[in-house]
Amino acid sequence: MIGGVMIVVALAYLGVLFAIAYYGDWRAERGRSIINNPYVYALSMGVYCTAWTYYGSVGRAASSGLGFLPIYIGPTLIAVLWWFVLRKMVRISRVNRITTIADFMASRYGKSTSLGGLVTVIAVVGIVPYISLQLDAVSASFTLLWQHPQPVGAPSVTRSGLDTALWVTLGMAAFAVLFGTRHLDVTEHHEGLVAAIAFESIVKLAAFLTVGVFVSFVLFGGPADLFGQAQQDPALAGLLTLNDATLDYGQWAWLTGLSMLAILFLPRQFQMAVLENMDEQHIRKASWLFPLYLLVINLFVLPIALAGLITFRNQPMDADLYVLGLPLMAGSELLALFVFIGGLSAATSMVIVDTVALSTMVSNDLMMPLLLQLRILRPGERGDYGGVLLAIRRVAIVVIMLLGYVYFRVTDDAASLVSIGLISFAAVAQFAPAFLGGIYWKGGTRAGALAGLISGFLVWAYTLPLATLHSISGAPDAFLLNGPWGIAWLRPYNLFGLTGMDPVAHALFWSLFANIAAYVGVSLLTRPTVLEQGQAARFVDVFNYATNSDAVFLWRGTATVQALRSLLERFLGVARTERLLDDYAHRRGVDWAATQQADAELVQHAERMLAGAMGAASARVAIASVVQEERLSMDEVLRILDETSQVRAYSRQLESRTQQLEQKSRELEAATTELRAANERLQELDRLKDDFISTVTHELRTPLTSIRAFSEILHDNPTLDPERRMRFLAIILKESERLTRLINQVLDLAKLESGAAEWNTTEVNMTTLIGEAITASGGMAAEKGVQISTELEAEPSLTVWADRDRIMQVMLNLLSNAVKFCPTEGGRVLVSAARQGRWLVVRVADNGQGITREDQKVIFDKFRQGGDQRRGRPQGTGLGLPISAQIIDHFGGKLWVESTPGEGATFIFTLPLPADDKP
Amino acid sequence: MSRDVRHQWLVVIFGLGCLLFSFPLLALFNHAALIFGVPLSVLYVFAAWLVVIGLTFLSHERRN
Amino acid sequence: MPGKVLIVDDEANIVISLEFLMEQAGYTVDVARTGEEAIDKIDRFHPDLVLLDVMLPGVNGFDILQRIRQRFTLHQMAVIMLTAKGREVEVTKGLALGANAYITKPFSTRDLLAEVRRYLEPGEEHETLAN
Repeated sequence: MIGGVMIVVALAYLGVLFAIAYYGDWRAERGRSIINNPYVYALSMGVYCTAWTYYGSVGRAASSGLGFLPIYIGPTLIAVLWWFVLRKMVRISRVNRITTIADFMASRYGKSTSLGGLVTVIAVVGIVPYISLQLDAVSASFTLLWQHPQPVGAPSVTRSGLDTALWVTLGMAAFAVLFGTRHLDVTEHHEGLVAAIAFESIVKLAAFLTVGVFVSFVLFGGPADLFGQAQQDPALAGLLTLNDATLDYGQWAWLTGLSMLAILFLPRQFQMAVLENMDEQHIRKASWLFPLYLLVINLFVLPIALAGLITFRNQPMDADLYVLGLPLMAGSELLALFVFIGGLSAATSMVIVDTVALSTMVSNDLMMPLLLQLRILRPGERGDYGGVLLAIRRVAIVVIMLLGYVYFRVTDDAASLVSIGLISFAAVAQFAPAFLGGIYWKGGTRAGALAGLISGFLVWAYTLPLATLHSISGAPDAFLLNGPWGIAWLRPYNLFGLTGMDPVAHALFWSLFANIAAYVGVSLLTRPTVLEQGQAARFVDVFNYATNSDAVFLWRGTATVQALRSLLERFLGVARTERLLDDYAHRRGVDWAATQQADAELVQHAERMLAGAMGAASARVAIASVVQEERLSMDEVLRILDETSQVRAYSRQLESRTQQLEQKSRELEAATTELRAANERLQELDRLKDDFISTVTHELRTPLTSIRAFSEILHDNPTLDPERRMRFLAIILKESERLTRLINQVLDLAKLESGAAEWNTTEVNMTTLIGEAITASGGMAAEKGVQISTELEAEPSLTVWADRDRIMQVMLNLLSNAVKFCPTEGGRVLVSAARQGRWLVVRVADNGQGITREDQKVIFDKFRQGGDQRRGRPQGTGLGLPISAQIIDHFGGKLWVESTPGEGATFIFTLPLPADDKP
Repeated sequence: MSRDVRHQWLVVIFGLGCLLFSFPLLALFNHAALIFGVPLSVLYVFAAWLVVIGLTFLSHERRN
Repeated sequence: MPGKVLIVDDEANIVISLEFLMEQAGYTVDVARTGEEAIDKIDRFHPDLVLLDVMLPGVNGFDILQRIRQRFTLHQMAVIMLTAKGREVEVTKGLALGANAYITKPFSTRDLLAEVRRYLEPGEEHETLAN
């Protein structure tokens, strides 16, 4: 009595799913997520493998050999690009708190309620055949097991007296309602759901591999044995290659392309891969792990199909059920039970995730906007609308499941599982133009998206499901053969007389053709609204906005905090609202008690929080009900956008221009390089000159300021006391001297630098010169109590060829610097001169505070002065050292400084001595 | 290899994958002849599949 | 009520002249010779008006101005920038950063006093020199 056991085991299995889901949620609430790792993420994507894969692939392989594979090759190929495409979808969805694929589209095209509704309708209508496929497979496998051990025959749904499919439908609907609508906010991750789906992926893989190994190695002598037998059999040999009887290359390519789109846009894939993604880095692992999962689960498909064809050669066994039929035939009931559970897990995972996704779309993107716009719900009034949302979702699940059942009953079992599934694939492929256009092309408009989706959807409906309904019981009717009213070019499978393509490829070609043409054409002909442009920028350039706070606020209007708060409370509940607003206040440093008026950012924030519960389009309608909004003019929007993104775009442009230029200049080689170098030198000189003039101006203005200020003070205050009078006059004199000195030195330096200085070169005895310099500086040194001593080689050979006055100028400068930086008490300066090889080396050492390493580098620059900056400016013009360096340089020597901070500084210069044999 | 370069590799792998799974190459290996007991066509498709997965793995997981 | 004026400049003689002018006009005066000292005095002395030189050793005048404007409005603490670099760019920058007025060295003592009075003597007009 395997039937009774089967029901118990099935219920127990569903119980385990609940347990896992609750455990997942429980862990999530405690902040210890079990799904926040790339392996669970990749496994949860296994929701792609439904009863279609589990039962249908073998059926497909039994008729078309390798023809079952493009459906898995497509996802593998697109997974390579996930790092670009999927990551962008994930980022956009997180930033905009997207809840469904309909929400995504509505949000991109200006939070359009009509577009969200349309996508919802297409998704629901498109997925219904897919759901019917699951019901078909589960009820057929159920019936097969239930009737066992009666002779295996084509299973009929009503033979046992009860409509198995209806019971399965109701059972699964109840499960989906209980499982999928436990929470309200749909942007927070469904951790329990993801955990359960990942678990189901493991179960179906394990079950399928077990049956694969059992069939290949226990019933037969391994895959090689099966392939060998198949090759000998003329009826089977054809399945081992691609050919006209199985699948031609054209079909292969179409199906590969179609499944690439399906893996991105099926509502359940969008749910798992985009909305439930916890970390963008997980995409890395998933993009090879998920294809690997697909490869492994398909390893035994062909062997099982061949085994089924060989075993059930002359029996009326549906190839879609070989997976279950083979173990039953071999009398292995326990394995058959495991296989049934595997199939159940494949079907339930699909049904759960798709109904969660679709019911959320129905409530958020279809019903809620309708209820709000028809004023059946008024957000301004009191009441809890969270409950309304949940109720809508539950009803939607039941209705969608029943639609699946109706479709199943109407089409009956004429079509194989795979051909039903492909109809759904073609439906969701209609999202591709507006979706991909929406994230890569800012020019796409709402009108374009609507036009594209409507045209594509109508063509799809006409060429696929409608046509399917006309081929009930396998025989095509007049509608299919001759077209409506006998118009041949309207034949659903041969639109405009196109022949030579199978129905799916044919439908896909015409629907996408109409879709893309309408989308691009209408987009180019219509002008987007301000909001659409803003959203387009947010979506297309999502990686340019580092975080949410970086977003552009294209909004201006007024709203009170109170009104926003009560609106949020109505949809999210009091406690959640409180928490969200507190978080916001904490982050932004807002004090609610003192804030009456909500700013653009808060309104935007409230809208995003609402969007998390009810979708972008609904949230916008709800917010609009409590906010007085001003329309922004195009100019204002451009200005706002300019401020934020333009700068980046411009710098990127500059960067690329520079690269282009560099490319070109490389081609022009040496000539250009030289020219550019020369140009740079000129520019550098120009800049230096500019800096120099600016600094000179500053240096001249400073003493002038004191002179003018004190002159005016003296002029305006004739009765000033004599003491202060004298002091101020002294300052004026001192600053005048400083001004004179400065002007002289600037002129001097200019002369030196331009080479216009006159040099009077004679024989100079350095010993004598140093002595005179020290005498000249004596007054200054005595004033400060500084003692100057010398260490001179008293040889006549300390004679150089130079300009006596200039060298004297250097010596005086070095000495006055040394005295200036000596401590006020116990200051000592030591001057030494000695011969070192062919050089005369003169040192002027002080015992001051020394010069830091940084200052040592700059003191020879014009107007750069050393010293402790905290004690104010040292006296001097900042030109003495540069001038001295120029002079020494002129005579072929060098001037530099050696110093250890804290231990004084030593200025050293060298001059070349004439060769021993005097000239 | 820098991250950017590795990401450019992904585009190359995608192109290679499309090539491996399309007409001329697919037809080249479309024979029922058994290699190690497995038809050449089946062996080729699964091997090509594994190559694409392996290359994707390398470009994401290989550090430095 | 006479106000408090903080003079920030590193030129000793200019400081002496400004100190004299402000004290003569009846204001309480304090002096800072470096950027760090100025920041310190702003907190402790709490001036009503700051005469701020741009080229200071250490923290420069614009930095100090920015710090002041993070905490005080144009009315709470007036700032008159003094600079010997009379470039258009610098004037614009100073005013953009929140200086009440901008005076180029060498200045006329009467103009300077008039400017200071505008911010410190109530009842008079309260507009900045901007534009």
